[in-house]
Amino acid sequence: MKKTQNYMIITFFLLCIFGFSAASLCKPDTVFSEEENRELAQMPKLSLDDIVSGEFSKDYDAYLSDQFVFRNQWIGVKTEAERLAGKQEVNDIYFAKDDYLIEKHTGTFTDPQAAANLVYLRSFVEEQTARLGEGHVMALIAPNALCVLEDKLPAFADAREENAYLDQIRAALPAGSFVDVRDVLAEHKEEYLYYRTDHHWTTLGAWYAYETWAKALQAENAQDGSAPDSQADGGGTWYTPREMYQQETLTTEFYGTVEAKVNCETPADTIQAWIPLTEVSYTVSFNHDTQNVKDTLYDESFLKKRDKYAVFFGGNQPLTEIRTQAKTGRRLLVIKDSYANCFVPFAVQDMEQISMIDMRYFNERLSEYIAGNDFTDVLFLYNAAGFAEDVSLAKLAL
Amino acid sequence: MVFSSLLFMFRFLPLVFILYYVLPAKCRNIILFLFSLFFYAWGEPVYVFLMLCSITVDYKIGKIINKMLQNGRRRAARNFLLVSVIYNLSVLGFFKYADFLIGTVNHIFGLSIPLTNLPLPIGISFFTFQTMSYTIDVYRQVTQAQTSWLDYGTYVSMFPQLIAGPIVQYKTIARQLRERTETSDDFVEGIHRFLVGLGKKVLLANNIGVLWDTISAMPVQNLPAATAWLGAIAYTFQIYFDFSGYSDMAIGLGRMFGFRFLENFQYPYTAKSITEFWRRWHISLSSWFREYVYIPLGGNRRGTARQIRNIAVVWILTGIWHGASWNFVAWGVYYGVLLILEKFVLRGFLEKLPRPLRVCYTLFFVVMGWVLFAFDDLGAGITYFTAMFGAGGFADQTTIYLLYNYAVLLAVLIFGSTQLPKKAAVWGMEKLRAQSWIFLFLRLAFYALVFLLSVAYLVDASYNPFLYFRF
Repeated sequence: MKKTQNYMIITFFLLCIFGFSAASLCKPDTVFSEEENRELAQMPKLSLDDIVSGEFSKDYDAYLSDQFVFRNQWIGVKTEAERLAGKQEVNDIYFAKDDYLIEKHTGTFTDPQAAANLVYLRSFVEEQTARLGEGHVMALIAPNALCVLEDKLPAFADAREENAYLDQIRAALPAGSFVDVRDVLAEHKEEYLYYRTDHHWTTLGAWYAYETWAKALQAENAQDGSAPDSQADGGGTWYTPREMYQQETLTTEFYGTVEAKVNCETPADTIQAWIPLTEVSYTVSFNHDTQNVKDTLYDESFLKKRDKYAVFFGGNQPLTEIRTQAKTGRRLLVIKDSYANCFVPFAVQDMEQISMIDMRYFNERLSEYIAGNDFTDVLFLYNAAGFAEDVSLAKLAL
Repeated sequence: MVFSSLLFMFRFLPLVFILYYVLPAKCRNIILFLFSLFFYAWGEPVYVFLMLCSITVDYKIGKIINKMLQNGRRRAARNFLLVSVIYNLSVLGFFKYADFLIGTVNHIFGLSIPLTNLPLPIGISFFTFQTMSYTIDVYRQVTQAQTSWLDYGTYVSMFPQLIAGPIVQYKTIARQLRERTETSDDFVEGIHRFLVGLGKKVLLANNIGVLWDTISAMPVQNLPAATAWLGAIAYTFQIYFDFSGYSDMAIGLGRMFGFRFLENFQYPYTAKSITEFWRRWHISLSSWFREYVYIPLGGNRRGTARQIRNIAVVWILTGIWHGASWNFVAWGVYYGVLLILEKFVLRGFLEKLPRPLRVCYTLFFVVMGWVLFAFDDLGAGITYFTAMFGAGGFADQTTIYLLYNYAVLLAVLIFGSTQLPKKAAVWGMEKLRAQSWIFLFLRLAFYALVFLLSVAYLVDASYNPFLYFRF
């Protein structure tokens, strides 16, 4: 009987080893992972140089791991195991209250890159202010869910670093040029300001930030007499107020990038677009492509894909140019990351021209582009973690 | 290549199994040899030639020594042994210690001799010690000289023990290289050891390693004492489960191919003294030093002064063997001093203490030792000590957060460091003797759990470091 049992154990072990080997050999390779939103490693090409340098081994290891059978399910299994063991976080994601998955951003705000970016931003803001005048150049560094939803984090989790970093930015920038939206978001923190499964803010979160910025613009500009005019009907705001928008649900099945890192069972998110009741007409063009001018800010084809947040402008474009019939005399340059994608639709109602530039992908000289356009205002709009980590901000000085 | 990788488990291992067991038995050594070279070359395509060179040099010298001894030319044989030892130590010295020496000389004399900046050949500290054990034992006539280059090459390069030990002495497997039988009992034991080792490495060591990495990355000047201790304890567990897990996998893989390597770890964290700790920790290394350094120097047979000198020599060497930097020297000296104190001063006192106190005493010094070991920069290690003794306050909210996040894992690690799991398994087997099928089922369920979880963690390999590449 011992022998029979031996053979059963051996069979079990060999089945495991050979079974997964065969399955992973048979599975066709995938090029792109929608869940992780990145291209997966492919079978490396054999070359003598790469073998000798050890590069081939490295690439093959990455290929095997990226293409392994049931990759997503394995990651889900790991997440479940971690949670069962009492871990409040997996892969730097907190399991927060109310089904929130919140990124931890470990070390992001104390990294030398974060300090360096602060310097780049300050000189950019100073330089543009010298050109356009005080009050026309602002930086809105949006706090992340980590900072605003601190109450939802697991007990004793420490999220003070982001707040401290935002304080540093505030102190470093010329007075009045930092748009601090922490208070207004904290005031509304029980509302749906951030996606539970994604690293972005919701359209509602973006609205509160937009309103704060628009008010700041009004207050600052009032001093030099160039305040955007209040609306003709008197007593209103210069910008389109909240009542003038109708909220439209684009999808209720959105799973974002944060969920992808843990692959666990969790309720989906809802994406909304705020559609103006009386819309100004506008045209949108991307990257100087004058052949393909669009009349919408939304690319609904993304609602059928994994990356549904890309419904705003079809994701991050190096350069987006919008011309409107708003007749407010304001022409706005936005230097931005993806947090701006659901923010800028509000500005479309209130600006004659908007150029959005994503420094990560923009390959022109920024100063030349600015010189070729007659902007009245500049907004630098990033999320705090994205800003701290961005490696392309040295290009601001070009 | 490392065992705890998808590549090893789902490409390399199945292929070795098929070829090893399908081809005729006389091909087994050549299969093992070729696959071992491939295993080594995967991360180090060039250094495989260095290993082949070492194999050939020591194989030839072994033959020459043997022949001279047969002709009664003991003196000449001794000279050839010297050549072998110098060759091995030079290879080790050049690749592992050259930059350390150059750096030290530059520092002392204010020079700027350029560093070689060569990457360390993987496992060089292990295989040079193995090849030395061979020529020394041939000279001592403890073992026969190997007559087949292939068999000798198979011994040196054998992938299960190639890159992180155990340091298998040639004489312990000389016979198995020629004639070994692979039985189903051996294979099952091999599976058990491999899976247990895999779980120790991937599920326990890597995870507690995350805690150590988290804490050691915090700014040390305001690190509270409780967090610092938590970090040091985390590292203490990481290094044990990593290293002993790797040894388990090595021993298990050896068994699957019919080899029996000696045990490398015997519950070191249950030791009641530092002396006992070193009889239970990395046994193959301490035996090597005892057999080839301590005893030839005279051991304890030439008076107390000589014995103290011998202990000091062995422990400085043990320290420096672990890595080419000053903290490892300090770590070796630290243990040398502790062992000398224990042997000559504390022994009587310790023996009167109750057992739990003796274990605590041992663990306290072991944990402090690992802090020295963990920081390449001796100064950083000392700063960390000050944090452990309260320079940054007692505890803060992060301490509590980390504690309750890792409570379950820490409990498993404590349990896993003792003999309790083994006793529980033996007890269960006795209880279920009549229903051995139930025991088999439980066993398979345990294996399946460890295997599947390990694969899940490996696929999500955001974190799978390997601590022993530097040895």
